[in-house]
Amino acid sequence: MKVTAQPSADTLTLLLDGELDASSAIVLDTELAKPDILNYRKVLIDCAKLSYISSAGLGVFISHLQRFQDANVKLVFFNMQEKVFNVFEILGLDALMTIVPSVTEAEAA
Amino acid sequence: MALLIGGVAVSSLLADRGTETSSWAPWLLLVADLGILAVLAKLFFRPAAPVPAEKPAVPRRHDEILSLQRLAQIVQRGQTSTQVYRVLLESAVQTVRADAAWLDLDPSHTGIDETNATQYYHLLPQQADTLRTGLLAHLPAEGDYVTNDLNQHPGFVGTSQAFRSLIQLPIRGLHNNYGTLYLIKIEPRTFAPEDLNILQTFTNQAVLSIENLELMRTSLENQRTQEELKIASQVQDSLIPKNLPTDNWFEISSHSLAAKEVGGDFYDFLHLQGRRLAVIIGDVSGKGVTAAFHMAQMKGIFHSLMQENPLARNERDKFPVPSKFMAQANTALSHCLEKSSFITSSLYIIDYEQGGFVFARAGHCHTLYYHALREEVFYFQSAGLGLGIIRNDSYEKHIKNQFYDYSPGDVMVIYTDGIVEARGGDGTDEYGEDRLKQRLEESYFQDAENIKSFILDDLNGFTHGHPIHDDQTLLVIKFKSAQPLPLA
Repeated sequence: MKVTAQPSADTLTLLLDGELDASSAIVLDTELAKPDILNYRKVLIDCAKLSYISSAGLGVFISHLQRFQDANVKLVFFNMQEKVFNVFEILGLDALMTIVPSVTEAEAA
Repeated sequence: MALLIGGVAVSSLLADRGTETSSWAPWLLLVADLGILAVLAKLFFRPAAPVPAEKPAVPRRHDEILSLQRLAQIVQRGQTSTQVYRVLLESAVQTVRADAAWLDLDPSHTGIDETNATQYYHLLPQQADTLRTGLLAHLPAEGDYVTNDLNQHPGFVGTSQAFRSLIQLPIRGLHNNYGTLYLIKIEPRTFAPEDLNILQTFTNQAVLSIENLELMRTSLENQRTQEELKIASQVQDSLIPKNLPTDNWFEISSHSLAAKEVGGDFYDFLHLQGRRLAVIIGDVSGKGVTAAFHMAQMKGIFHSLMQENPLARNERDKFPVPSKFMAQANTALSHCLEKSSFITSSLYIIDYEQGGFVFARAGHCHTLYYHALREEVFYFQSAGLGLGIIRNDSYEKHIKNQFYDYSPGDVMVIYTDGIVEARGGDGTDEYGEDRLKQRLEESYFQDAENIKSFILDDLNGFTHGHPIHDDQTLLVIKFKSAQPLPLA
C-alpha cells in the first residue's frame, strides 16, 4: 500500500495504491491524522489503484469522518473500482460519503 | 566433539587469560559441564611437575572452574536472578581473594527492586557510598577499571583510604547493562590485569545465566497467555448457540469458524412470544480478543433489547422492530466501541404463524434468498448503515425495515463476509456473491443441513491450501409447510 499526497491550492489529493488492510491502514491513518489536513477545503481520494479494502481500512475513513465534517473539509472518493465500491455500499457508507465516478466530478463536488 | 571443544576452550582460556573471552561465552553454558570435566581430568592426570610455591596455580584454577560451574548450574536448578548475583559476588571475591566487595544492580534491567539493588560483601553501605562518590567524580560510570592505589586516584587524593586496590567491572549483556561489580583489597598493588580477565569470564557467565532465566520466564508467560486464550476460546464457544431452535415450520443449520482462537462473528436466536423467532447475525470489525469482547457485548445487547416490554399497549410494540433495535444497539455501542471499529449486523424476526418476516440490515452482507414459487435465487437489496459509524440520533435515518412473506420451500442464507471474501486461486481471488448464489441454485431443494454442507464443501475446495484470514459464519434457514409435530 502506497499513499501519495498531491497538494494544490485548496485541495489535497491522496492517491491510494495497493491493498488497504489492517497492516497498511496505519499509513493512511497517519496521513489523515495530520492536523494541517484540516486547512484544505477538500480532500480527494483517488481510488483508481486501490485493489482491496478491509474493515480495518474502512475504519480509518470512518474514524476521521466526524473530524472532517466538523472542520468543514469535504471528503470525496473517485475512480473507485466496482469491487471496492461494493464494500462501501454494503456497509451503507455510500449514503454517508461522497463517491463520484471521476476526477472531473470530484473537483466539481 | 562437544567434550573436545569444551575442554580445549576452557583450558586455553586458563592457559592464556589474555585472550578475548566473550566470543565463546554464549555456548559455554552448553558445554561447561563436559568442558570442566575435561579440564579437571587434565589437571589431575598431569605429570607431576614442580609448582612454584608463590603461585598456587592449580588450586586457584580449580576454584575458578568450580565457580563457573556453580554459575552455569543455577539456571538448570531454576533459581532466581538474585541468587545468580549472589554467586557471582561470592565467586569473584574468592577468585581474586578480595577483602570486600559490592555489586550495584540496575533495577530497570535486573527486576531487582531499588531497596535490594546493592549487594555487599564484608562492607558497610556507607563505605560503599564513600567509595562510589569518590570514583564517580573522576571515572566514567561504565567501563573496566583497575586501580592499584586509591590514594593516588583523583577522587581520593590526600585522603587515607582503608582500601587501596580496586577493580570496577560492568556486567554487560548484548543489549543491557545489568550493573557494576566492585572488588577491593586493603593492600595496594594487589590486583593483576589477568584478574580482570577471569572476572570478565564470570560476569559473562552470570549474564548468560540471567538472560537464560529471562528467556525461561518469557516462555512461561507465553505459555500462560496461550492457556488464557484457550479459556477465552472456550468461553466464546459457549456464547454460540448449540441447540438450534426447532419447529415444524422451519429448519435451521449453522456453521461458524474463527480465524484465530477467538473471533468477532456472532449469531443467536430467541423465541419470542407468539410464534415468532428472532435471528441475529453480526460481524465485529477486526479480529482477535478485542473483536471477541464486542461480540459478547452484542450478544448481551440482543438479549436485553429483545425482552418483552410489559408496558406495551399492543402486541406489535412488545418487542422492538428490527430498525428500532439497530438504532438502540447503535446508541449502546457508541459509548464503548473504539473510533475506528464498527459492527455489521442483520436482525430478522420471523413470524411463522403469519408466514412472513421483517428484517433490518445494518451494513451486513446481503441476505441470499431462494423464492420457491418463482423458482428464483436473489440477494435482498436494501440500504442500511453499519453500527458505530454514526454515533448520534441521526443513525435512525439510515436504517430501514423490510417486510417479506415467505412460502414453504423458500430458503434464506445468512452469512458473514468471511464466506464471500474467502481467498482462493492465486490468493487474490474471492469466493464472491455470485458463486454463493450459484451453489444455492444447485441445492435449494435439499434440507437446510445439506444445503449448508454443499456450500461449505465448495468453499473449502475453493480455499484449499489458503489459511482462513477472517471468521466465517453461515446460517441456512429453510421454511417448510406446516407438518404435525411427531408424537413423542
